[in-house]
Amino acid sequence: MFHSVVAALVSLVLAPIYDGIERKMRAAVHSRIGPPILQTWYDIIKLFTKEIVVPLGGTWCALATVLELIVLASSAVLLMFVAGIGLSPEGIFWVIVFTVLVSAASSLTILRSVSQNNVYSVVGGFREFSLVLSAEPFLIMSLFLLASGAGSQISRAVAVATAIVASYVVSGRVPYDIAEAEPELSAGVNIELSGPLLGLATVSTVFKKFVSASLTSLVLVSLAGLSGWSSLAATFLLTPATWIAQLILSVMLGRSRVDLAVKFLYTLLFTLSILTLLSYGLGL
Amino acid sequence: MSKTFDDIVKQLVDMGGVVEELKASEVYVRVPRDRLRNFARFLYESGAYFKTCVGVDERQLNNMFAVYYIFGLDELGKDVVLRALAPEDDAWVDSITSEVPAADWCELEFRDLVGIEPRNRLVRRLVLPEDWPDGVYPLRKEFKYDMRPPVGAFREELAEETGIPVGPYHPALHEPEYFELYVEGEKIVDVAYRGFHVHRGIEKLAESPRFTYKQVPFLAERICGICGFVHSTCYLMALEKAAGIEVPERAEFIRSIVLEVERLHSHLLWLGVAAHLLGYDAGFMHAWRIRERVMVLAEYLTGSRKTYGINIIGGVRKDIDLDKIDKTMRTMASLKEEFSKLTEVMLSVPQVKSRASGTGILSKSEARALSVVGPVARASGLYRDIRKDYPYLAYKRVSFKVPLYTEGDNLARLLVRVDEVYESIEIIKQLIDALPGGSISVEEYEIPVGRKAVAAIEAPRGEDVHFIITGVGRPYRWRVRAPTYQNIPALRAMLRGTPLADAPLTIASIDPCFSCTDRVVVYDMRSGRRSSIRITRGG
Repeated sequence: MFHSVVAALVSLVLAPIYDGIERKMRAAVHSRIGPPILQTWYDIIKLFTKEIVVPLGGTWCALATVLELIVLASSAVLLMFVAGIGLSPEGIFWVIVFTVLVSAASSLTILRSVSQNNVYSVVGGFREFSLVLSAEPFLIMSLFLLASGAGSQISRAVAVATAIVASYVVSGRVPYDIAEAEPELSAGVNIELSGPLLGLATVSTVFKKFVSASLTSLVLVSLAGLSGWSSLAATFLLTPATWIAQLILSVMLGRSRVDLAVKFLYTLLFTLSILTLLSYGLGL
Repeated sequence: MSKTFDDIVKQLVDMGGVVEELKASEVYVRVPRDRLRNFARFLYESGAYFKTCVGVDERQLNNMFAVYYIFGLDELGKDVVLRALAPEDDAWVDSITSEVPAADWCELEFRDLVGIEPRNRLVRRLVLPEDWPDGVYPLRKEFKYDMRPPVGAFREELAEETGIPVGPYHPALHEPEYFELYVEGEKIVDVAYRGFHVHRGIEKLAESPRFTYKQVPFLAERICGICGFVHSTCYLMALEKAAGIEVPERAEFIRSIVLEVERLHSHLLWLGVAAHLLGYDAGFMHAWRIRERVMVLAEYLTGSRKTYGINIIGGVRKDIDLDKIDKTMRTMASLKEEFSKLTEVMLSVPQVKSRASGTGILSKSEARALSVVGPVARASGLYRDIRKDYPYLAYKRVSFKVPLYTEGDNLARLLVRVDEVYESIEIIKQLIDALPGGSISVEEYEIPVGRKAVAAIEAPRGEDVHFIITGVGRPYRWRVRAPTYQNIPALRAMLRGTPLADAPLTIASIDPCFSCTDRVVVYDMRSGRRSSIRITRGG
């Protein structure tokens, strides 16, 4: 428990640095110099020193922004706690709580978007809603199956694949950054935010990436059959590598369109889910 | 087109037209103002492509207003210019938009700026702001270039937004323009456009005492931040044609080389922007990295990365020596290799193909009716390239292909530009190989008063048209029709039915250059402040 909390807190401090490394590596792929590795921290600190401007959405928007960060930070901590136990029947209660928190964070993002009196934000919110519906049910299902401890190595592998794809969507990277889509929606869900509120949203975005990378690491670790302290250590150490792998994938792709993304995700994740259920059902 | 040039001219005369001037490359036919549409219909049905129309205050010459409708006979490489006159106290002409929809904007423009009313059509303000006073026409001769008319009132309250606004400032638009998109879900069902936010009075300035023939090329080059050399060259071609100035062959080659260098950096810039709009930022960065080589070459050849300033009447100011030839050839070789790698990777990105294909479609018939130009026309199956159709400068000495696609979608427009980069590289190599010796400018020249000429250049965005009437020491009238001017009206057809997410890409797919399109006056609608540019400030 203690190790998990320490790992979680260290991770939350490191997450903006991982993001800084991502920006530096992305720049290298682009043949640019890029910002310093601590740039994300600098951005966050600077935003928190700015004056508070209440967005058009008023109280609801501000409340949703704050709550979203709290829920995401909690889910990141909880994820490390689950990693300390391992994806096993002993930790299934915490997996359930974790999935509730992830869904709650998505709902708060949508609430934040639609509460802003801005057409771009509302369009971004509905895009986020479509993506959540396309990915999170499959993520939850695959996590339950993995945590149940049932199934063969093959069936667990298929469930892991489902969880990896779905958690990539949660990260909000290209091609699934369509809720923000700067050239299309002028930052979409974040358009009305500035100063500390934008700082909170920025931290939330970084935590989302962290949750996505560490969740992917955890399901991979679970495939290796690790549990307890070794599972926690492996998840903690694997997270930056997973983060970079997700970055590399995102650099090679362009932004999808909401209809294309939903169609692709449903086709892929639904097929993987059927395969998962079949393999579990048939005991493969 | 089965008719010959003589057949067409004869037919125009039979219809009641009077040939005023017959040149090797163009004919001016005076037609009755109330029968303009009949002449326009005949030309349009004969395969002529509408280029633009121009309103001119000719009261100092003949006490009349005049409008010129310029049509191009692409297959014959000649222009037909219809001229109709209208007296000051009854200044109207018959509109041709029922026959030629592409004349919509230019008719509204001469209505706004010269005060000639196009009849039998719906009219609205296009160019002037809503609070510009009635009865004040900036391109009439009595209107001084630095005059500040009293600010009027808004005619009506601005409509409340009911759609999704794109602009006047939006990440997808790099200049201020305004599109209002009406959507059902994420599907665009209609589009309203409002442009002309950044008029700078360039045509008026060129006619003012502050400018002379020699200075106007530097003004013309500031029309656009990307294809400025196109404008200065096109102005000079029109002027040299009107004055009968024979430009040395070497100067023609140098102008052509620089024009192709301009096309290269323009297309690479666009490709980067398109990649960015599609969320593929690696493509954006690498396109601009490759473009940098072209910018360096431009600086080496002309002394400037942009706004080269080498064009003068009768030639150019900078020669190309052996070092420059060597550098150009090496740049072209490395550019071709790097561009090939970039496009290979970029076109294999799934999102680029899936989002660009089947979106922003412009059919061939719509493209013809709206007289779209450049890559937009060629992507919709129209075989139009001014370099081929009206060979100018050194283009008659080189061999190249005109890329043609029939899909009319965003991907087709992208592919046309990709192909054109390869063609431009080959054109530059050929021009360098065949660069003749001799002088790079004429020693002396004279510019007679009252001469007219039309010139056109295939700019990166399409056909750029300049029309000039010579005056004393400076143009009496100079009209610029940039390619974007002709392509923007097609956006309505292209955006309808397109997903909202693809609207920025579709708008960008015409490679819009709003600075080129907006040329008239800077006017702050809120404060009523008006300002004109100074040559030292640039455009």
